Amino acid sequence: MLEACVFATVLCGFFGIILKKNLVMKIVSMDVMSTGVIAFYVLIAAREGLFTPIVGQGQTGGFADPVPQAVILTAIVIGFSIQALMLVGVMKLSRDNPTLESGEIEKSNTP
Amino acid sequence: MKSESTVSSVMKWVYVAAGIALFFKMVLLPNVAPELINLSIVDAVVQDAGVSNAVSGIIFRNRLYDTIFEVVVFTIAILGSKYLLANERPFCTVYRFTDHPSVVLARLGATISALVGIELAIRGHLSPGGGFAAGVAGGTAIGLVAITASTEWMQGVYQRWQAATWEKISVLVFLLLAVMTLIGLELPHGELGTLFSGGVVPILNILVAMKVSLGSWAVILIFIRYRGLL
Repeated sequence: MLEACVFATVLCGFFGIILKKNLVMKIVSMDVMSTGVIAFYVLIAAREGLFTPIVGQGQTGGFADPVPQAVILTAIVIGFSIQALMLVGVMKLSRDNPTLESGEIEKSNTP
Repeated sequence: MKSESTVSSVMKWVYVAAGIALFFKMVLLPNVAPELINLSIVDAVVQDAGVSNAVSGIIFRNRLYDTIFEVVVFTIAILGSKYLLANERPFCTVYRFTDHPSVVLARLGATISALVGIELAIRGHLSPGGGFAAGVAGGTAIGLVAITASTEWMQGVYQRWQAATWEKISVLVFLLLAVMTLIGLELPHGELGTLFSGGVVPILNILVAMKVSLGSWAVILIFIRYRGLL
């Protein structure tokens, strides 16, 4: 059930990226998609146990898998940097041809 | 032109159908995972790294290569946004919050956020948190001050404390320590679970926290300067 919700989030983001025409909406959809992917990794990590993988707080065993959590931290930080860079690119594009619609920008830049 | 748009609208439905098919494939077919032998990953990592937070141990020791390039990508993204905006005309008047309730609330939030950031950075190897989360908390604090303070003042503070230099220094020291760890030099681990334990991991946590908060400060400043606030 949770897995279906996570996949639905990922697909919503994916359809937003390919079907939306507005560049800012594309970036927002990309963020939605990466949120879904992060949720999927967290879900995978919680398969063997639910406790935070920190030793020494009275728990033995039942820990969540730390490896997917550590791997997806990279994706979070890189997603943030990529978003900043893409927003700057969109600002430049929208200043050069005053619209955010990707179709219009493509049309005015096609030789 | 007409036939082109028909083709693209047909392709759109093909994409949607493919996506829905993929959804049902992922949900209905079982995805197999190998059964681990009786080995606790958490215990193994904690033993290896000498810090009680296994995620920190993996990030700063077992997958240190990954983290190095993560820091490098973050640096390059900030450099790229600065470079792309270098030939823009700065925004003429920047409107900001000037009413007293907003200022007081933003300052209060910034104080709490900065304290949380410091706590996460220095205890990241013992409790949930770590360098990246701490950096984001510090960046939030700076952003809260930035929406109520004047742009020139923020710029002045940024230059007076030489934040850009500190950012570069923290990246270089991080790379140096990472290379030292990767060639096998390790500080003594100390007692598991105390503040000064885990060798190089707490230092790397603090360096990453500095780097991420100063980097987000730079991004906030250039976005406000070239785009305005509201």
